Amino acid sequence: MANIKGVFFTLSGFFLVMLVLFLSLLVSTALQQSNLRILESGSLERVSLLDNSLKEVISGIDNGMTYTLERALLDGRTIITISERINPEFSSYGNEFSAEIDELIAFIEEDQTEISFNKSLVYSNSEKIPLIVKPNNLRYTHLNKKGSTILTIYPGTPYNTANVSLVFPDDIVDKKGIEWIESHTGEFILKLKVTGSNGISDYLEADVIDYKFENKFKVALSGNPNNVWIYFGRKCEKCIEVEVGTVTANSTFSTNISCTEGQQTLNYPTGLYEINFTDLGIFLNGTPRLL
Amino acid sequence: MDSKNKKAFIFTLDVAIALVVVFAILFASSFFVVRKSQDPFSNLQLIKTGSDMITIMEYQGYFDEDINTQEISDYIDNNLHSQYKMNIKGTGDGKPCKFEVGGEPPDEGTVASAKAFFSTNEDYCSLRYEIWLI
Repeated sequence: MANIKGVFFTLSGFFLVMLVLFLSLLVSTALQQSNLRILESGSLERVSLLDNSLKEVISGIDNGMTYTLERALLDGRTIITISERINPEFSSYGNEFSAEIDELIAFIEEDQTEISFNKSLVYSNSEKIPLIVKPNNLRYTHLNKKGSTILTIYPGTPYNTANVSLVFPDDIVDKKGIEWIESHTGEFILKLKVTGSNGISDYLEADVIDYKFENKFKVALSGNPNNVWIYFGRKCEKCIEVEVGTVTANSTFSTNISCTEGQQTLNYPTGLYEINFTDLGIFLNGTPRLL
Repeated sequence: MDSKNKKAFIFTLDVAIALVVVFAILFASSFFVVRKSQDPFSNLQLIKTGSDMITIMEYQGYFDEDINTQEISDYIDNNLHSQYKMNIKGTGDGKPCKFEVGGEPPDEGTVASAKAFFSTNEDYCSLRYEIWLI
C-alpha cells in the first residue's frame, strides 16, 4: 500500500515538473516569435523612411505644372486644378523633368541597390508626365500624336463638370473663338474659355453635352492657319483632349469630384520605383505623391 | 516506532530532494526565458522616434538648399526627448550634401539607425541618423 502511494506520489511529482518545463518552452517560443515580429517592424520602419523620403524628393522635381487640391468638406467634393504651358512639340516636352529624373535615378540606384526605377511610366515616346488623382483614377496626361502634344484627361470615376481654359499667344478670331462643331446634347457641363493675346476672351458653357458621343470644338486663331481642337467623348466617355497643333498655350483644367471614396491625392503612377529587400522579404511598389 | 520514524525521515528527505530538483528546473527555465526576452520594444521605439524626427525635418525644409547644421542641432535639442541623443550624417557627391550634426554614439548599449534621401538645390543626397538612449 505504502509502495503504491509512493509510486503515485513520485509519478505526480514527475508530471508536475514536466508540465512546468513544457510551459516554459511554450513561453520561450512565443517570446521568440514576438521578438521576430518586433524586429520585422523595425525593418519595415526603416523601409518606410526610405519610401517617404523618396516621395518627398520626387515631388520636389519641377514637372512644368502647377496644381491644387481644395477639399470642400461641407459638400464632400474636392476641386482639382492643374495648369501648365503646353509645349506643342512632343519630342521636347518635359525635357528638363526627364533630365532631373535621370539624375535622381542614377544617384539612388547606385546608392541603394535595392531600389529600382521604371522611368517609362512617367516619360516615354507615347506618353509623358501623367498625373493621377486617386482614388478616383482621373488621369491628366500628355500623349504623342504624330509628334504633337495632346493634353488628354481620362475621367476615372465619372465626374459631371469640367472647366478648360486656354490662353494663346495669338489673337483668337473675334466672335468665332469657340465653335461647337459636332454637338450632342446630354447632361455633362463643360465650360470652355479661350483668351487671345488681344485680350479678347470667348466662353462656351455647354451644359447639355452627351458624353457618349464625340463632341468637337474648334478654336480659330487669327493669322494662324492651324486651328486648336478640343474633343469631348472621343477617346472615351467624358474624356477631354486638347490638340494645340503648333501653338504654345497656357492651359488650366479644373473639375470637382466627390470625396465619398476617400481623400483625393495627386500622384505619379504606381510603380515608378520599387524597393525590394529580398533578404528581409520586404517588397514595396512606390507611389510618389505630389499633393 | 523506530521503523515509523525512519519512514517519515525518508519521506521528508524524498520531498526535500524533489523540491530542490523542481526549483532548480524552474529557476533554469526562467533564466533562459528572461534572457531571450531582452526588451525589443525599446529598440523599435528608437527607430520610430528617429524616423519621425527625420521625416518632420525633411518636410519642414531643414535639408533643402543650404543646410544649416546649427538650426538642425537646435531643432533636435528642442524637440527630441531628453532621454535620447541623435547624430545625423549627410553624404553625397555634392558639397552641400556633406554635413554632420550631433555627437558620437556610445560604444556600448543599443544604437538604432536608418537612412533617408533628400535633395538640395543642385544635388541628390542621402543621410543616416543614429539614435540612442542616454
